[in-house]
Amino acid sequence: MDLSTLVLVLIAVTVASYYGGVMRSQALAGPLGGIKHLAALPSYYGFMAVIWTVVPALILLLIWTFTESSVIANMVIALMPPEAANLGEGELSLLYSRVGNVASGIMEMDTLGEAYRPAVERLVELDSFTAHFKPLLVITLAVTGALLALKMASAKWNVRYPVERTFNILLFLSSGIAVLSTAGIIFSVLFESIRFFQQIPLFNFLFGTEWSPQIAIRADQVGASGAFGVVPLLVGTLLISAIAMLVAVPTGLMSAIYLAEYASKKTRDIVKPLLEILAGIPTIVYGFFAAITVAPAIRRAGESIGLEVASESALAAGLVMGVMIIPFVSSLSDDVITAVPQSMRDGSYGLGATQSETIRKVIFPAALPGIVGGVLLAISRAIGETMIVVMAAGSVANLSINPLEAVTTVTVQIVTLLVGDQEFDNAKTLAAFALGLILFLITLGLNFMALHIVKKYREQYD
Amino acid sequence: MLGINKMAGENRTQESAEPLAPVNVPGPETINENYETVGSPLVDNPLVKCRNVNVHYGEKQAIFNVNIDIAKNEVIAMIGPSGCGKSTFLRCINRMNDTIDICRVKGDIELEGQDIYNRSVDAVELRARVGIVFQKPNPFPKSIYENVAYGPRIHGLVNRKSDLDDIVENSLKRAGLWDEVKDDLDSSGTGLSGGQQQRLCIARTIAVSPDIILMDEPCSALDPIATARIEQLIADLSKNYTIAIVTHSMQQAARVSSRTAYFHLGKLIEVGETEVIFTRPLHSLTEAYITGRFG
Repeated sequence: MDLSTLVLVLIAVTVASYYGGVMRSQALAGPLGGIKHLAALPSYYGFMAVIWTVVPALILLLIWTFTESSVIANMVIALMPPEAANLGEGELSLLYSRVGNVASGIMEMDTLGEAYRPAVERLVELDSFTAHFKPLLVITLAVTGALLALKMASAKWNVRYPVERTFNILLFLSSGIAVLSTAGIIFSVLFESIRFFQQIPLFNFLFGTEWSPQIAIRADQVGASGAFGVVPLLVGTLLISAIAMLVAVPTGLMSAIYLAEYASKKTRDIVKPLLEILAGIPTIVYGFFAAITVAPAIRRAGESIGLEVASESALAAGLVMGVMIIPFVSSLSDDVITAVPQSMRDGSYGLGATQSETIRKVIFPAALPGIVGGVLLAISRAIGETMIVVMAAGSVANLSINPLEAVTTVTVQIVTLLVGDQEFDNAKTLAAFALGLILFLITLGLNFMALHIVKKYREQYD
Repeated sequence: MLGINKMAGENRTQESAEPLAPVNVPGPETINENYETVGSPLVDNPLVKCRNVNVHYGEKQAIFNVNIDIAKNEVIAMIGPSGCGKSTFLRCINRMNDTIDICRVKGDIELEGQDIYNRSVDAVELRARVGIVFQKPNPFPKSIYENVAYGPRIHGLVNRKSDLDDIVENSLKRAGLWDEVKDDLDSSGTGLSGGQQQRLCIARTIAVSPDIILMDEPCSALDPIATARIEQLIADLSKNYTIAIVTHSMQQAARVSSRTAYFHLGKLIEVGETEVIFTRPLHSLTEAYITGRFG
């Protein structure tokens, strides 16, 4: 029986146990004169039976699945000839997989040698044992649990408490998954970064002004110095993000004010979804829009007034990124502006303020913390943005704040470093993780600041 | 002294009301489209003159053919059961209803002889002359000083900082708040207590020197002590200002006003001297309301 059949059978048993629990509760309630005499509603009896069915069976299944391979491996390796015990870890696992291949019939016995026959036979035996016995045990446990729950059910026992508690735990575990995966990501990046910093000093990385990650593989290679100074990348990132914010913040904010305060309901219903379409365009589409349409246009425009513009300019990438972020800023700002209580507007109008005075002097200041929070979130979005800059900003690590030159960003370099065949033990590849860590810390700091600002000032006008 | 000591709750429904109404006045059944207000809705030389005012919210009519005058330097109370249109009517007087899209106001409302709904009248300037205080205190999330200085600033009433300081001080004094806040004018207006916030809102309104102050249930969110202070303030202000106050509390109407208008389902039933309304109402509906038989 394979895993999918097992799961289907389990689901069937679970459904049956639910209805079993409900019917059992009704049977209990019958002689007492109705379900109002039960300690809990029938559905709780159903859920109680479900919990008893699923939880023990699932725990057994999980433990078994995660431990079976190592338990079997230990048992099989114990039967291997003595010379196997002297092998290193890598060679032993290679040998074990060959035993596995023979056991499943992919390879012939004689490729291993007769000395391994007991191990192979044991493996075949154990595999067929788990294949039959595991589902049987799991289903038996599920059915036993269900029957036990039905037997335990009584009119007096308030099953609502254990059921609610179980759901509580389930919800807690679900929220734990997000936290755990964040921690997992942080640690994986952190450990690789530490390996990088063992090769390149932290100081050189943070304050170096030259970025040239090519490392000489052979002694006679030239032009591969291996400089890992992150400053040009950060400057490029900040330059492009700044251009993007210069586009996105005024446009987004003003469109938010228009939508929230001036637009009629009809206009708003049309314009707002259209603006939000911008947010739905895949960033790679923005990327080739920047590379194929905007960058050449800027170059031609620059040339016509006698300016030298690189064909991959920070300006092009920044402008398009700004357009991409407009809905981000406008949508968040629109929400906070709309959230300013009507009583603030009434108070201002009641004093004879015009609409624009009311917006400038009352609504905007009241909404400002939320707007700042939204803008900071937009900045961290801009800093982490990858596809547009990969396609339009170039990959030359110029240390320059001239928006007409090609610059590169942290994200572009991560992509460049990790694309293609790479060894995971040299500084060039590990540098990607260090860059990732820097990026993560910057955006984390910005998000933290944004949340803090929003939280601190949120309730001010209530 | 007033006919309000009979508590609500004994005889709540109108059906069970005793027929106490004097003869020769229209009964509840005659409250139709063409109902004419009883009592004395009109005065000589009114500050505000309202004629045939009708208000619609979309399809629904909220105010029916209201005719009333407000005299200079009087305190007029508007009372009536919930949803009777008294707040809607009050908000017509400074065109606050303009800010509600679906609201349409018809009829004539004149302030010192000028039709305020005329195209040539700027609602913004009108609202500087007709101040309003709302039900829930709504100070701006700014300092106490800035809250009061807001109006004079936007209307360009002052050129020098010292003049502004004077206006702020005088307004806060008139609103009875100066002694409590004079040492921390820079702290936030939202940090004050509910009663203080409402007095701040009144100070903010006085600061632009309006001709008339509208108050829309100014004490309904306040405790009895804060309410008593606001009522005292209204009495003080009535020496210099005209005040129109909407209230749910008949005791409050009796205490603060010189004239009282009773609204019922969007119609203005009766207007008269407050003492007359609360002791010898002309209309059976007014009588039923002030004796607590419904509302």
